[in-house]
Amino acid sequence: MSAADHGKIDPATVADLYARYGAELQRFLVGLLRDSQLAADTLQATFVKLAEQGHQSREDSRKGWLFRVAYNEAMLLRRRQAVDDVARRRIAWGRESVGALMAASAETELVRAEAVARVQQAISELPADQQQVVRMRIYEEKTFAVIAAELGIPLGTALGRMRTALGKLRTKLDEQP
Amino acid sequence: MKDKPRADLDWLAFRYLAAELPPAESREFERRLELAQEAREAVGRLVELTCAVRALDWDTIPQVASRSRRDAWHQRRGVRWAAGLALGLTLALTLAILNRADHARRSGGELAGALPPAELALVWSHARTVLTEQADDEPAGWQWLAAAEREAEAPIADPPAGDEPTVDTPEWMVSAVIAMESEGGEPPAPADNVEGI
Repeated sequence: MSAADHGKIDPATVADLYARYGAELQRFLVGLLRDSQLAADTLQATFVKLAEQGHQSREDSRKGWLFRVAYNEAMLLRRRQAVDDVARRRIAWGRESVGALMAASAETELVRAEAVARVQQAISELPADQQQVVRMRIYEEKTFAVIAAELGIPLGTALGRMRTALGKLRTKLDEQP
Repeated sequence: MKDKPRADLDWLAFRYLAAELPPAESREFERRLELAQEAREAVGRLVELTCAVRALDWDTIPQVASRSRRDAWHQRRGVRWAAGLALGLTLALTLAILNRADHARRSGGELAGALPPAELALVWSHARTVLTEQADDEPAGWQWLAAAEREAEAPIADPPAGDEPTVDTPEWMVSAVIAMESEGGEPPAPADNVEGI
């Protein structure tokens, strides 16, 4: 039986949806799975499902449908793998894993070049105390408790600085070039 | 107003990604991910942001505010201005003394006339005016300097009624002006910034 017999979504539409949402979905899946390879596999499974069952979804809600399918596929994979969640996060948050993500980013656009440039600009505009917390938490991978102890500030202050900085960075990242 | 919930969601997503959420909250957030598209998009955004931050070359990022806080006291701008002013005045005073001594030598040991003190007054006035103008141009970010200046200037800006003004005129200049007046010499025409004395 052909795809048309089942009313399957046509390949050109699948390709178009991949071009539009593939990178965003990949980032979401990396966030869920903390592993770029697993995320890539799940992304592929998601689009296979789109090709097979996408015609059942409404055209104006395809993005949401794709994310929901991706979420379900990721959770299924996690249950199958039955890997300790905390251990996986620790591994994925480590430098090696991020290095792998960066290597994969050229193909998946996990991190856009202009995003890095904008974030760099935004970070250089942050007050030094916020900049320091961002660096220590994300780049040096220190926990907030350690950051607070090293800087001699209350934990809430460290969290507050990070939160404020994130808001500014996110705004900068959202700006259109 | 729309930004507030989004900022909250981003913060939650960041803590989820960074494994900073307690297990119960983490599971709750994952349930939210199942249902809410904005939560899924927040996770994607934060993954990109986090990877971008880690991709940066941190050594090339200027840390202006942090550096200024770590500056030694002698590297601070206000201190540099004060040092520059002191150096300029010392130089002017030295030149004036030398000039005066030379004049005294040439005029058979008599004290110099009114001109050197008047010149000194002009030098002082000019230096003070330049300093004042440059202080006004200081960027707003130098709050520590502005606060120090407010403290330093408070008694000068509002002297007690009936008292002599406590303008920080140096003693040597007061003496010079008194000497000039007692000798009856006319001071040179005032420069347009003399009122700053």
